[in-house]
This record gives sequence, structure tokens and C-alpha cells, in this order.
Amino acid sequence: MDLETIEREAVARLQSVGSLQELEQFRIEYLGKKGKVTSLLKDLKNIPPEERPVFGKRVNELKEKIERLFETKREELQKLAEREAQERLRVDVSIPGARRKVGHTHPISKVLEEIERIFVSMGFDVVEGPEIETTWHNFDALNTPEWHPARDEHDSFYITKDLLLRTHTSPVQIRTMLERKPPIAIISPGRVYRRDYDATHLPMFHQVEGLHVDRDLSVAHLKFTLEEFARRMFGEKTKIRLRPSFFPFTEPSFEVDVFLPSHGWLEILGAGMVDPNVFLNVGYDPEEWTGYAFGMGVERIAMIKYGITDIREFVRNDVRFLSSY
Amino acid sequence: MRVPESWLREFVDLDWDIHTIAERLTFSGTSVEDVLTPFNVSGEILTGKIVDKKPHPSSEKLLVCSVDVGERVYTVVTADKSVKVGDFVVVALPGTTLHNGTKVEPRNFAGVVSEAMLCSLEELGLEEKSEVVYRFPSEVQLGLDVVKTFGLDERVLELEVTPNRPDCLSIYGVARELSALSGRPLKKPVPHVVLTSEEENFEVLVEDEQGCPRYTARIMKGVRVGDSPLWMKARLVAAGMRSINNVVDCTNYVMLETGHPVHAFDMRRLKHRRIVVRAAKGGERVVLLDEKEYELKGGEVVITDGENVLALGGVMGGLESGVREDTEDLVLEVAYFDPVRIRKTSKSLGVSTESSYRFERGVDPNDAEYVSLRLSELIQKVAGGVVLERFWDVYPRKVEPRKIVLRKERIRKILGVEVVNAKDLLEGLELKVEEAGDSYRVTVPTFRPDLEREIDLIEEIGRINGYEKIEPRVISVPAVNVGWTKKQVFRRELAQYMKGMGFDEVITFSFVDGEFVKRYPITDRETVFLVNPIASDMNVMRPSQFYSLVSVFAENFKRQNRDIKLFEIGKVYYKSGGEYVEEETLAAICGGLENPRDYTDKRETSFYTVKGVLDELFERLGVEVSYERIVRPGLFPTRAARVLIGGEEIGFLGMVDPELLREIDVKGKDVYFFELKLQKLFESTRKIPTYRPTPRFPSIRRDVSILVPKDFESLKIVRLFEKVGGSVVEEVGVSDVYEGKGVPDGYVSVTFYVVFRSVDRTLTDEEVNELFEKMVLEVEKTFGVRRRF
Repeated sequence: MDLETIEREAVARLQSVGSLQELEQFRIEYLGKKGKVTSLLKDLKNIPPEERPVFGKRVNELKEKIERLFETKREELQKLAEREAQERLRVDVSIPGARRKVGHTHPISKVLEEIERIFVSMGFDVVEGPEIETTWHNFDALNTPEWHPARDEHDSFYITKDLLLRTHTSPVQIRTMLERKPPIAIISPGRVYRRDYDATHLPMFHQVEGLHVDRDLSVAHLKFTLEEFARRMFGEKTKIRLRPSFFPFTEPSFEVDVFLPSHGWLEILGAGMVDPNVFLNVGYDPEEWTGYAFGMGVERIAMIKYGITDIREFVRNDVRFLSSY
Repeated sequence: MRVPESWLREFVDLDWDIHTIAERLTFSGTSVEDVLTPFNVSGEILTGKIVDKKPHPSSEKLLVCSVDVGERVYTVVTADKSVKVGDFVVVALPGTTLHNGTKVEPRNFAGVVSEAMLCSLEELGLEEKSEVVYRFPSEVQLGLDVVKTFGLDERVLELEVTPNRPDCLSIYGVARELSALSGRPLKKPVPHVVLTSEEENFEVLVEDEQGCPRYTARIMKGVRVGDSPLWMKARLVAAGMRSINNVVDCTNYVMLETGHPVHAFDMRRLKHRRIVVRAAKGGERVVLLDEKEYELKGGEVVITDGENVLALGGVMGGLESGVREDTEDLVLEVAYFDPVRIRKTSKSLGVSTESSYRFERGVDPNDAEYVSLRLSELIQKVAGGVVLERFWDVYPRKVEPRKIVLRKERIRKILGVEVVNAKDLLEGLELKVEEAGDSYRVTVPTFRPDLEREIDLIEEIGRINGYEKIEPRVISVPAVNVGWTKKQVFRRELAQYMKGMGFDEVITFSFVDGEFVKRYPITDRETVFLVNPIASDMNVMRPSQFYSLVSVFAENFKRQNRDIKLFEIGKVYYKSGGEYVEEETLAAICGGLENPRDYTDKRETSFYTVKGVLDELFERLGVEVSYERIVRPGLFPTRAARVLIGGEEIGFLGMVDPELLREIDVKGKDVYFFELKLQKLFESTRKIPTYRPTPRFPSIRRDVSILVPKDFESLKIVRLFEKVGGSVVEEVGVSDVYEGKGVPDGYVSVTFYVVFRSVDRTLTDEEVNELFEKMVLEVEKTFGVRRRF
């Protein structure tokens, strides 16, 4: 076969090659040890010696040419193969991720922690106490004797005649004052219980109460602390105002309204200067020490913060509700 | 407390509108909850007179009347056939809106056009249900604007009075507040009564001086009981009361005005012409004005005639001794009862009245004479009769006004502001104030029983002065404070861990259904019962969170939530050796898919995954625990274990008994629960982690599957591997638990893995293979088990 024929055939063959396997076949057929081009060189001995240099050169040129064409084809096929391989590994980036389940914080815990964090950063200790309380700690020590009409506002769950489920976390203040000497600054978060159950009341709910006792504390300090709290809790633009009210354990007493641009004025806290009788009950001298106390319902704050309209959601614990927080 | 605006303005001349009044009251401690318009009638409603009446030409049920309203005569059709010529009536002209919202228009009644309408009290908002059209008891001027003249355009302040302020349970008391706030003078009505010197054989005896420190009586004769005048009805209704008859209405009117509850007896019903006030004996019976019979517990203050109980003092009058249509002579009681005694009576009998509400908060003992005269004056005005001059007054120990020293310095110390006009502010409240150097000597009238101490006066100054005037002052808190305790931080970290494990936090009631606890006593602790639960299924304090969480699970299941993981950190409660114990626990419940939103993970929660949550936790906390199989009510018997730390049980885990779940409609799901005692866990936690150098040499791992009987405890194999392998064994664990094809019945294939590593060299495959073979052979020999591969 002459060189021209081989070249024509090779070029045509190469054009029809469609895969790397076919290409390998081609390589063996033309460029392999027994390939058609290689065989031409073996034929060299049959060529007259004077023609050999020319013939040899032509064969080499042919070999180089086919090798070039082969290489080009190889690269082309290789790219094609890579693309096919990638295509097989294609994913749909629009498909939602396969999500690992991670739990949620109950909104009440969330708000509780936020409140605690604010007061802790202001230097208050977080103190806890029992939920099954004596009537003395829950009422009497807090200047609410047995036949005081104010007891009506705390319809209580009784365990025995003298034990009840605390109606507020104020007894923790009594316990703390009995244990520690002033000055003190504490908050007491926790569960409290009152016999009331409807869209705005739960028989068990959460409170955070605070107490700060020192020399020369006045209503002015109370105002500072609560304003600071309200600002950190609800935002810089928050204002507070005091509405005189009545609690047996503080004198004077206030309802504290907080102004939220989105809601207007909302009653959020109760507060007041610790009643001297409370100090006497725990052995503090009211002439030497003054103090202020405050309390708030965590559910109410959570409802305002998250726009929840039915308080019973908190204890229904539907996982769809919980997963929003 | 409802305060009609016009009534209030009788006692203090304010140039404030009603909204300013409401705001000032609210910011001085008497919260105004609402401003009401109780009657809601508007338009032309006039007084008129029936001048003619004819039967309706075609309907027997109707009358056709001619009604003169002064300027003209209207033809009015009415269904009230009791109307007579000469009756004075209330006529609503077209365009009028009545109390129930209907509009009056001319209307054709079977051929006769009614041009206006005769009104009943119901249509004017003055009573609940009327049978007839209203007729004035006596002549009135024709064409009067009824709405304006009789106060049907009244606006009413609805007040929330705090329990320390009985003085504000009266119109006059509220006026006093406004006088102090505005500086406008307070106008007290001066009673004008015609007294007669006629004598009467009558006496008052008080045997229970403690319960009734003061009792006064006055006698009126010849009164005519009847309907109250319209203005009085309107005021009483506006204040939230019903009109009964003119005498009873006067007693209510005086109570609302002065805050002092009073009572009128029909004198005929006093058998022995006397009043005896005594403590009731247990078992005495009396029918009160609410027509119910009460059995007294003993100790209530009762008003008697020496024989029969006439009234429950300070609470409610008796039905028998009350004023009726034919009553002529009255005994008017103005008394002062002990607040605590009234409260006890009210609580123990379950009766709370306008009267008891005021007495238990404290009524002025020293205004009895005035109140008695004011009452007589009013009754005389609306019901006629003569008032006896003689005033029976038993008041053995007069309550004197309290004197309090108020230090100026103390005002500043508590309020944090200088109040220069403190004296004026107190005097505005009718307190007497003398300045004495650094202090004031203050005399407190007896209508303010809440003002007992210096601090109470400081509050008065503060609230009248206004708290908006106080500037906030920065606090400094003692530096010894620690913020959150380690335990509180630990609790939060636990919660964080549980959330990381996919559990949602819940908060559940501390009380649960006692029946549930009794049926499935998951602990043997003594249950704590509530004396007065709010519902029968919330009647005990939970001895375990099991009950709460199972209920929340079921509730969620009912709402089609199927893949659930929940936890709660809360208390459980029980009785132990007579003591009530509260113990904090971490509890969790789960069922369904491990990762419901992960479509690459089809696993359901199982005993092993839940145990994995615990084991991971214990490892992180550095707590060594052991597990022991248990059988407990509420848990499936072959899938439950308790957790121990050094022999002490700190909790348990297990599959919730499917039978229990079926009862609460949870079907087709395995549900797992665990509960751990928080305190013990906290105490056992390794406080500082031990440092272990990062390994420098490579490890080699070998796995082996061993067939074990189902009741075999595979932990024994792990332990034996560790023992036989010695120091080059870094870790032994389980990598698979398999039952099914290829595993004979009653057996499980457990795949163990062992990680070999030396601290000082690279181990060779040969030595590991040799050691591992030895370990497996030892296991096979010791436990009589065999390897699968």
C-alpha cells in the first residue's frame, strides 16, 4: 500500500472514530508495533538504498501527521467522556436540602432567658425557690394577712391548710432576705399558680420578680432600673410610666406601663418601694434600708413580643407552634 | 365601681372634661377602665299626657290614644291596655333611637297610623324587662326633654378601686380625689330634714361589740312605699344597680354616694321593739333578700329583734324584715361592722354583696350620724313620712382619728424628689396637717383606714404630686453578685444539648390527672394532691414528667403531628416522710422518624437511638453510668431500663406501653420516654475535662459479628474484649445490631468493632490479627456464642 492510500484511509478512519476504545483500535492498527505505518518502516529494507532517505522521511512525516491527528482526536474524545461522566453525577440544585432535625426553644424559655440576661448584666443575682410554699412566705411575710381582701386577687391552689402553690415568686425574696444581709439585688424567675383558666389566664404561668435593697434607694432608682429594662427588652425608643396602684408588700405601689411604638401603652410590670412591714418581717431595719421590688408575667411579655393572641398556645405545645421559635 | 358623671360633678366643680377626669384619676391610683353610656337613647323623647283613648277599630289587642306633649297632640297606638286617660307618659317621637337600638318611625297598625310611641322603662334602658309603658307616679310638665331632664345621656366612669381604698367606693370619695387633684373645693351635701320630737318605745342592744363596734338606728313613720322618681332610677341604673322601690332605692343611693352601706327594716317585723346585735350560733337559719335560706356557721354578726334573725349584719337583709309595698314605719340602720368578721362571713357563706364588699374593706365608723340624716332626708323627699329626732347610737369605744408624724427627709428619701407643697397635697385629701420643724403632724380622718403609717402618707404625697415628676437615678449594684449560678448554667446547657439532638422544648402544667397516675404508677412515690384543683384531670402534682409528656405527645398526635421529639426541664413533686419534695428532672419523649425532613434518612426512633442520646450526653458530661433492665407500669416490659450512677438510680428510659397509648388514641407508633434527675446529674458531672494527648501513631480497626441469644447482654462481650485486648485496645463498640434473614430465631447478630492503637509505635497487621483472634476465641469460649463472619 502506498503512503498516500494509507494517509487517506487513516484520515477517513479517524473521522469515523466515536469512542476512546475505537481510537485505541485505530492506534494499534496504524501506530502500533505491527501497525500500518510502523510496517512501512519495516519495508524500508525492500527499498533501494538511494531512495531510502527520502522514503524514510516521508514515512516519518506521515507518522507524525497521523500522530497529531490521533492526539487531537484523543483530546476531543477525552473531553466528551469527561462531560458524560459529569452529566451522570448531575444533581438538582433546586431540590430542598435534606434537613437534620434540630429542636426549638419554647418561647417562654426564650423570653425568660432574655429577661434574666438583662438583669444579670445589670448586676442582679438569679435566685430560685420552692413552688410548694408556706402561706407565711407567700402571704403573711409579704404583708398580706389571712383576712386581707387582697388575697382575693390571688385565688390559690392549696396542698394543706398552710401549704399552697406559690401565687407569685415574691416568697423567694423573703427567703433570700432571711438568708442574706443587705445590700442585695436579685431576680427570681419561675412557675407560679393561680386558679384561673381562659384565653388570657393559665393556672400555671411564669413570673420574674426583682428586689433591690440598699441604703437610700428611692422611686427614682426604681424608675431607672425599669426604664433600662424596658429599653433593652423592647428597644431604644421605649418609654415607661408609673400608675399608682396597690400591692400589700410595696408602698408606694405602681403598675408600670411600657410604651411600644407598635402597640401604644401596655401594662407590663407591677412595682413599688418595699413596704416597711416586709423588712420588719425579715429582720431588716426599715430606717436603715430601703428598696424597690418589681414583677412581671413572662407569658404576657412573650405574647406582646411575638403577637400571640391565645395564652393557651404556650401549654398546648403543638410542634408546629414550637418550631416557629 | 361605676360613677355617673353628673353625680360626681354635684360634689366638685371641675372644668375638666370626662376624659381628663379619667386620666387624672388613673394616674393618681384610681384606675378608670372605661367610660360607659348605659342608656344609649337619643332623639326626641318627651313627657306627655294621655288625653283620649279609643279602642282600635279592627284589633281588640290595641288601643288608640291621643297624647298631648304640650305643643301638639299625637295619635299613638299601644298594646298596653292598662293606659288611662290622665296618665303622664314618656313619648318617643319619630327619629328616636331606643335602648335596644330600634328606631321609632310612624307605623301603620291595621289601618291606624301611630305617629309616636309610648315608652316602657325597658325601652329607655332603665330596667331589664317591662310589662307596661312607663307612667310617672305624679304630674309632670308636658313636653320636657326626658333624656336631658332625667339624665339618660349620662356617661359613667367605670373604676377599678384597689382593695386599700374603701373611701373610693363612693361617689363622694371619688369627688374628694378630684378635688385634691384639681384644687377645686369639695361640696358636701347638707341634709335638710324635718325632725319630729315624737317618742318611740325602742331600744338598741349590742352584745357583739367586737363584730359591731357601732350601731345606730333612726325611726321614720308614715312613709309611702312606691316607685322611685325617674331621676333616681336613672342614677341607680347608671351606677349598675336595679330599682326596687323608693325606700330601698334611697338606701342604695346613700350607699353609693357616701360609701356607707345602710339598711331599712319594716318596723312591724321587729317583735319586741328592739334591735339586738349578736354573734350567730351555729345552725341558725335565715332567709335573706335573695330568697335563699342560709344555715349560719356561728360567729356571723346577726341583727335580731331579740327573737328572730332580721338580717345578716353588713352583708344582706332578711326577706322577712325587709321593706314591702305596705310598709309604713321604718327602722333605719347605719352601723359599722368589723372588716375581718364581715369577710369571714362573706367567705364562709359564699355571699358577696355591695355591702359586704365595702365593710370588709373598711367603712368610716364616724359618719353614721351624717349618713343617717342624709338617708332620712332622701326617704322623706321621695316617700314622705316623719323622721324621729331621737337617734339611737351604741358606740362604746369611739374610733379616734389617727395621728402620724411625717418626716420631711423621709419623703425625699423614699420618693427621690423634693415635694415642697406636701402639706397642701395632704390637706386636699381632707387630712389635717400641722407643720412642726422637720416634720408634719398629720391627723387622718377615719374614712381613710388605709393611712396608718408615715409611709402611707408618703404614698399619698407621691400619687397626688404625680410620679412623672421624678427623674430616674442610676443604680449601683453590690459587686458580690454572681448572676447565674453554675446549676442554672448547667440547666441551660442541657436544654441546648437536647435541642441539638432534635428535641423541641415544651412547658407543661405541673398538675396532672390523678387517675392516670394511679393507673400507671411509674414511680412508687407518694402523690401530692391539690385540695382545690381547677379541674378533676388536673388534681395532683406530677410525680414524674411521664404523665405530662405522654399527654402532650398524644395531643400532638391527635393534631396529625407524627414525628415528635419533645423534652422538658421541670419539677416533679412527691411526699416523703411527711415532707413535700420538689425535684427537678430532664424528661423527653419521642416517636416517629428521627429526621422527618431528611429524605436521605428513613430511620425511626428506637430504643437504641434514644439510649444513644443519653450515652452521648453522659460522655460529654464525663458521667459514668450503668443500665439495668426494669419492669415498670407504663413501660413495655422488655424495653425498659434504669440508669444508675454508682448504684443510685438517677433515671430511666423505655418504650411507652402500647396499651396505654391505645387508650389515648396513639396507634401504630413506638414511643420512647426517658427522665433523669437533674441534681444528681449536675453533681456527678466532671467539672474539668481530663487532658488526653492527641494520638501520634495510626490505629487499626477490626470488626466481628457474633450471634448472641436475644436475652444476652452484649455489654459483657465489650468488657471481655477490653480485658483480653489490654492496653493496645483503644475503643470497643457496636457497629450493627441485626435480626432477620440469616439469623436464627431467638438470636441477634451484633457486630463489634475494636480499635487498636499503641501510644509508642505503629502496630502491625500481623500482631493485631493474632490478638483479635485471641479475643474473639475467648469470647466464644466464655459465653458459648459463635461468630457469623
